[in-house]
Amino acid sequence: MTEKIVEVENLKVSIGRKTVLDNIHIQFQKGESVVIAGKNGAGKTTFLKCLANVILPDQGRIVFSEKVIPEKMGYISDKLSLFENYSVKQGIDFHSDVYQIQDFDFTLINELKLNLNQKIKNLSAGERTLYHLGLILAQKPEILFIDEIIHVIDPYLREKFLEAVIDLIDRCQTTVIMVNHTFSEIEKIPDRVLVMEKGQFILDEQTESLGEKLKKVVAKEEIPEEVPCIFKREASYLKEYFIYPFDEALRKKFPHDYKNINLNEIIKAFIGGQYAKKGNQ
Amino acid sequence: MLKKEINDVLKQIAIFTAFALVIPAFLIITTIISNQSYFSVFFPLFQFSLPFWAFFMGASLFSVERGQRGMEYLLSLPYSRYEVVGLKILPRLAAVVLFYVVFLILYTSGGEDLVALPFFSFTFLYFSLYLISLSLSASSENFIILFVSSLFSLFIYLNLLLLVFWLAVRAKVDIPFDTLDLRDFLTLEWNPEITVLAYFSAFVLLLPLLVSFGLSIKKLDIRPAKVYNKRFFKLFAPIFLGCFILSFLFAHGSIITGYTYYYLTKDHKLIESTPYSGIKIYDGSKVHKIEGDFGSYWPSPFHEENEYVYDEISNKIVRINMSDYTLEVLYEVPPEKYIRWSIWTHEQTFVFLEYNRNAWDKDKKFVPDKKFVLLDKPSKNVTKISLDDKPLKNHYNLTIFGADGTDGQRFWLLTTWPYKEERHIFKLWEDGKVEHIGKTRKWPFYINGMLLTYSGDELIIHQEKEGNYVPIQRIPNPEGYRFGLSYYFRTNLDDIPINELYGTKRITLEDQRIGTSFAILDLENFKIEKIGESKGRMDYYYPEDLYFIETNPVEPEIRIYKYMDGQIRLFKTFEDFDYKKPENRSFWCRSGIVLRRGKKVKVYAYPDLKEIKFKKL
Repeated sequence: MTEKIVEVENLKVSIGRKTVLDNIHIQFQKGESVVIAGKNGAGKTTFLKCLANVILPDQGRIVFSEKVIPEKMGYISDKLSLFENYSVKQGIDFHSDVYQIQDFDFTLINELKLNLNQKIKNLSAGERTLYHLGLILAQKPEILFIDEIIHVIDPYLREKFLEAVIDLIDRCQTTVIMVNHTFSEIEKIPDRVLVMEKGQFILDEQTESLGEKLKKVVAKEEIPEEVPCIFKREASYLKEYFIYPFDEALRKKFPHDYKNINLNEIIKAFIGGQYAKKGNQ
Repeated sequence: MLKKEINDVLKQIAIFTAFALVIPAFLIITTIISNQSYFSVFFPLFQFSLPFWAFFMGASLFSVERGQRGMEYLLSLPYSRYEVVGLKILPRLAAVVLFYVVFLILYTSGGEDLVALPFFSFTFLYFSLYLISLSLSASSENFIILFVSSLFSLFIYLNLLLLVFWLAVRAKVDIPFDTLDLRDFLTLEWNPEITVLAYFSAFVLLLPLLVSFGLSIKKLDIRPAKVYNKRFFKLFAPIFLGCFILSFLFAHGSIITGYTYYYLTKDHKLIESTPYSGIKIYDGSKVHKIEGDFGSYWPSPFHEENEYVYDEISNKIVRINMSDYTLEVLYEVPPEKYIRWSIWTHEQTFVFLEYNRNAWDKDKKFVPDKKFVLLDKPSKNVTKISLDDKPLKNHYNLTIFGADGTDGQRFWLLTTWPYKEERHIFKLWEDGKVEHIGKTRKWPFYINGMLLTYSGDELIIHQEKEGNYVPIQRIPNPEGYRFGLSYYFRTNLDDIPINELYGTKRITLEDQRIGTSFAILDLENFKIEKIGESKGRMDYYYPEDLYFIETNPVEPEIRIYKYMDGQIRLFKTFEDFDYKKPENRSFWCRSGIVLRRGKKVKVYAYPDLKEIKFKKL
């Protein structure tokens, strides 16, 4: 049985005259791992910052379940934001003090072999990301927000980072909501995939069912309008149609070669494909 | 979190203190400033730098986090925006107060004479700048922009304050704008008494910034500052309108009608003057108005004769006809000049000293251009005698204290301000000749051809013999009484049969209050007789009305004592009159006393101090 951990209602955020998030309604469940993808400027980071209380919505509300007290929320920003003039030790002390952490778990930080007197600003991007994750893990968070950070970490630390996140999900049933462009490294993580476009979610599917619901048709000719194509990509004389939602009845009515595609390709298609308006209904 | 903020502020305090201490030492060591004590260099620099400190403490609310790319981390912490801002303001406000306390300690420990800015101006600027920069702290990430916008806002704020008070004054009296000066607000030394309401008025005008900050900070996030500013100004506009009106109402309430002055004439008519609102004369049954630009005229006639009252109004010597209630200008002082001290009346001539307003010319040369002016009352003819030549060349502060004449030529007596406890006495003849006739240790006096001077413990009475004043009596005066005229009386007593002179000296009473001891000098047998003591000030009027006016700081009342039958007796008590309240005022005139309690004005006339009723007063 699923347990709702956060519900977003009617969320709207503008920057100047531009509407960045436009009337978003969505729910997240406990223990769920969600990846949000989308083009640059689609509103992914703004949405995550809203969840993390860094941006306050102009309209709408975000309601967390009673279990999710502020001390049980973690946020790693894309800017690797920390008080960087602090030493590693001062950062730990401050974080422990603010989040009322009694016994700080140094496991991840020890693995990094950091000098405790080293200033945070002198850490590499990867070290800093894992250090921040280490701080958050000590909170034993109910929910964790990670914003487009994986691509700045080297492959060795990236693996450590993802292992720690997966371990957290397994051990603590933590809800993890990540923003990421690519899925090649994190394909194992998401239970659910969201794709954003122009401040709205245009795709919201469980990863398992996504392969069944999204097919690709490669054809020279146009496909009939009745086929629900959300994206179309043209490469030389061939056209790629991304069909969503797909069901077997379509195959009988409009016989084409409906191909399965992997998650990474699905996301690439969403990000790089030509947006078909009808798919955004 | 609070610990972090305290640490941040402590570091800033350490840096500021180091600079404040080191820069004066550097200036002295490098002899950029030489021959001065460390404190005399440190204190003005310290005071000058404190408003910058106040600005920094206000504007730097988020500067540490912004400088460390820690803003997102800060906002993601498990605190509400109000908690974050509160935890940040607390140590910074404490630091602002701490340095103000340090300033106060230094100010009272010898810094008073070294201030770069007057005390009230400084206090006002210091806290205003802190509150303004705090209100604007989230409006930009750029410190220079914050600094410029804070200074600009301070400038606008001070001008708005000026405008509010000007409108408030205008709502009560008709006053030209150019008579108000921004400096008045900085020094808080302007005419309408500054009361608590005036401070409220100033504070309320800061509220739009503070309230807008308080409300918009609730939604502070990491979006560009323009998003925050848009919200800020949306709130600011209506709050500003409301606060401007409220500030005006407070300012209006703070301007006290006690600004109106009164004078009771010898014919028991009451002159009332409200600045810039003309003069009213109450004759008992009617009110007569004299229109005209009289500035901030405080009626204090120097002479009353027949139906005329003579006074100085806005650098003009005027005569008010109390029969037909008209005003005639007898002499107008040139705009670059002013009348120094009071006007002396002798026979048909008024005399006074006329000085340059700006005694330092453009080459920084001292040119007081002292003139002794004789105004003939019947003809209005004016004669001017220059006092810039020897022997008066080096005497700036001159005062007229007597007049007389011999062989058909008149002369006036002038005294200088004390130098090494001695005043010089000069005789100025009508033809411009000046004679130095002696020195005195106290204010001299002239009556019936006798000149009274003082040595260390003697009162010396001189009389003129062959052009010189020679002592005819040396009266022991070990207690140091000074005999002569009271403040409001500036004329020779030649026409009044005077048998005795009244003298006073300041004393410290048993309860440590300042009082006055009184004595009488018998002009027939030249003896001094001590007659008593009084708490507070005294007034006395010749020939024989000697009144003691006692104000008591504990009991809200005024007691009038009178010298009668060789004794001082309680003569009249005005109860329920707290002279310390700004809405209460007392006006002491030659012919009576005018008391105002709030809006109620009551007039009491000598010699019995019975109340005189004036209709429509």
